[in-house]
Parts: sequence; structure tokens; C-alpha cells
Amino acid sequence: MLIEFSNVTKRYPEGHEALRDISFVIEKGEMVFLSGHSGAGKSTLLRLVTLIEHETRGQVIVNGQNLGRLKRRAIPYFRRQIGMVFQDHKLLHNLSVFDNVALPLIVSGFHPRDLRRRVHAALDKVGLLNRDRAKPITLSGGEQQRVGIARAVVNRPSLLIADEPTGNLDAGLSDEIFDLFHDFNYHGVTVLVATHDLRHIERLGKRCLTLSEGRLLKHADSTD
Amino acid sequence: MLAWLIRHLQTLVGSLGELSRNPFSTLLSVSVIAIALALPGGLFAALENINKFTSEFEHGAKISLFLSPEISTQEAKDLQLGLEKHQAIKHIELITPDQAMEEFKSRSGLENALESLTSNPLPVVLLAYPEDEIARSPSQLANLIDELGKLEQVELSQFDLEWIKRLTALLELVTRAVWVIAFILGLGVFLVIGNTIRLAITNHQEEIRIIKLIGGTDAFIRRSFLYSGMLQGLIGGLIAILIIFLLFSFINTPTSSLTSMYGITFNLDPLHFLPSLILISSGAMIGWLSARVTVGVYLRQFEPGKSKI
Repeated sequence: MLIEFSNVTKRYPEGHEALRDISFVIEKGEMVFLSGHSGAGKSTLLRLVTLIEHETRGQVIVNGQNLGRLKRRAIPYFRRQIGMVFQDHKLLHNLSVFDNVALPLIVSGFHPRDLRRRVHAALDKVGLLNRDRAKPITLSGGEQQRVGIARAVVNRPSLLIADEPTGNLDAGLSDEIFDLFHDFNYHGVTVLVATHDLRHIERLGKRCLTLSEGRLLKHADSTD
Repeated sequence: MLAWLIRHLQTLVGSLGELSRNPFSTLLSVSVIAIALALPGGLFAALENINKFTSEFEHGAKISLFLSPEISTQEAKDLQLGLEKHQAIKHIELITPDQAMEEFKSRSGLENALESLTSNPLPVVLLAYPEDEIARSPSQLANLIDELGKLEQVELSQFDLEWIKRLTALLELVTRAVWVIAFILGLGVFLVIGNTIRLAITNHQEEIRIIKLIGGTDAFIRRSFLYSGMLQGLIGGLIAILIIFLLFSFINTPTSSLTSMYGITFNLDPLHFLPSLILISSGAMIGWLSARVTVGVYLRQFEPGKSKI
């Protein structure tokens, strides 16, 4: 398995209990949705997987690593195995599309010779190869999100995490984005997507973890 | 190795670009750094010059031995030969009463009055030039003067010792004061650079956050700030040297004309190559260190569970 939560509770310092006694497993190569109302704990769960937060109780294991025991120095190397897609894209607006996508390769010390090829492959995948010199601000919301996805996959991560990736997009653009995730999953990447858009969950027919007030409600099994 | 070099060069160029994007604030902080470095640098250069000046004196330091009137020139010459073998003495100059009288006449302007003297009342004088290391040590010099004064042919041995003693003590004091000033201003440079780095971190918070999330190490994030701090210190150091140079050329002419009134040819030396290099590299080092400490403190806010991540 790739992700394992065992009796995980997360309480924020101000006392709010965002997750209560959560246990689940996501197998390698699975695509899983995470749904629930806003404030149900979806973001907190993803923040635990990406080590933005530490769990208060219980145990989180990702890619065989117990995150509670991971050394501070090992965190960057752990995060390089995960591609992250954010609702607000989190692109650097003073850099070109190409440089934004190249950033994960640059920070991991990728050789400049192979960098161009890898970035172009990722941009080609999301259909933005011809916009590589543009600044992100000149792109539409859907295009910016696709740049964000290209950046998330350029490092060929084994796990792709997305937090409300289509929150600001209309239905047609959302479909394109989710089809991209589906395609990455088809090629072997484990995908975990938080969304409150039940339409995609039904359309793609994947397992869904539903959170309500910090508790896990049900396991909808894959029909795929 | 090549990739590593390329990355460092890119960061360096990136830091330069960053500094040039905010020309006003960069100019401001670099100027403060330059002034803070120029002050101790200039004071050290001035001390160096005063040392050079006093060593000119020490170089010419001489003990005047006024011999007893009954000592003849020939006897004085024997004494001169004997004393030249003394290990503390570099060489001995002999002034006969006739030479002394000639000099006295020409300097004093009392030529007519002196002409009326029937005999020359001046004694033979030996000028003993001590070795440099003796001249530099007041106690050894005092021993030498004492020793020479006890010679039976010598009536009086004279040296204005107190003056050198006081000057040496004063220079010692001033040198220490300059070190204290250098330390305090160095700390000032440290804080100024630390503050600009802190501002830069605040301005780049979102970038730092994103780089952390895509797996950038602290070392990677730190690098551009380290270069930025180092460059500020380096440029500040260069400007400091320029300031010292301008200042010294500004006061060189009056200094030379003042010292020439005392019959000494003296030119102010601005900082030489090595001290300049030391000044610039201490600027760069303080900048690097300051950036290292500041970034170290602020990056902790980007750890899991902290406010900035």
C-alpha cells in the first residue's frame, strides 16, 4: 500500500479537532477521491500526507515512511516523491511557464541537459507546449491549473495529491482536469484528489473517502 | 560538478538581479554598510600611517654623547671605533667641535658674535644610532643610554625618551579603541544586512513556501539569500575602500606640507592591497554570516506545523 492512516487524530493548537480517529489504506496505483463539506477535514488530511502538518495521535505511513518519525532533513526528499496540485495553482508569477514547471527539477539538482526535454514532455501532456514562454498571469484559470499539474508530474512522482483542483473552474474545464488525473492514474501514478464535486466521482467511478466533521463516513468501493 | 557550478552561477546572477530590482533600498543599505566599514578601515589606515611616521623617527633615533672637554678628536675617534662594535649600536657618527661650530653659526645667525670667540668651547659629540629593535623598545633604549652615559669619556648622554614612550603608549591605546570601534561597526553591518535579508524573506514568503512544498531543501532556499548578503557586504567593502582612498587624497597635500615644515618628507599611504582585501572579504564574510543566521532563524517558520507553511 502507499498511504496508511491508523487511528489518526489531528488537533490544531487552538483546540479545533480537524480529524478524529481516521483509519484507511490506499493501495499503490489506486485513484481515490476525498469528499465532504468544507471544514470536514479534507485539507487537513492532505496536509498530513504532504507533511505540512504533523498528526497529533496515530500513525501516518506514506510510501513506507512513518511521517511522525521522519527527520527534518529528510522532508524535502520525501516531498519530491509527491506531486501536489493546489486550488489556487501556487505558480510563481515572475517566472515563465517553462521555469515554473522546471522548478521541481531545479530544486532536486536535475542536470540542465535533460531538463528541457522533461519540461517539454510535461507541458505537452497538459497541452501547453506552445505557451512555455508565457507568464502564468497571461493564461486562463484552466490553463494555469494545467501548468500546476505539469509542475506536479514533471518529477514523475509516485503519488499525486490535489486539493480542490477544479474549485474555480467551470464544468468543461473541470472534466479536462479530472481526465488528466485519470490518465496519470492509468499510467501507474497513485492519485488522491479532494473535491466536493460529486459529479466527477460518479463519472469516473473510483473509490471515495467521505469525511464529515473530522470522521470517515464510508468506503465506496471501486466499480472500475 | 558542472551542474552544481551552473546552479551557483544562476543563483549569483539571480541575487544580483534581485539587488538591482530595488535600486534605492539596495543603495541605501550598501551605503550604510560602506560607511560602517570605511570608518574602522580608515582609522586602521591612519594608524598605519602614524606608525610609519613614528618609525621614521625611530629610524633616526640617535643618542647624543657629549664628551668631556679634555677629550681630543683623536681619542674620540678611538672611542667611536670601540663603540661601533657594540651590538646594540648600528653606527656612530662623530662631530668635531669645528663642524659643530660651523653648523651652529649657519643655523643660529649669530655668526658675528661667534667669530669673536678666541677658542672653540664645544666638545666632541658622538651620535650613536641604536639598532631598530632597540629603538623600538623604550626599556632597552633606556639601558643603552644609561650604559653609554657611564663611560668615563662621556659627560652627558641624551635622548628624548619620554616622548617616544608616551607616543607608543598612546598608539597602543588608540589601536585598541579602533578594534572596539571595528567590532561595534562590524556588528552594525551584521544587523543591517540581517535586516535586508529579513525583508527579502518576507517579500519572498510565497516562493519559499512553494519551493519547500515541491521538495526544495533549506540549503537550496538559503543559497540565494547567502549570495545576496555576501554581495551586499562585498559591494559595501569596495565602496568603503573608495571612500578611504578619496579621504586620504583629500588630506594628503596638507599633511605633506605640514610635515615638510618639520623637515620630514611624508606622504599618506591609503590602504595597501592586502588590508584592502581584508576589508572587502570581512565585509563579504559578515554579509554571508548575517544572511546565514537570519535565514536559519526565519526558515524555521516553514517547518511542518509552523505558521508559514
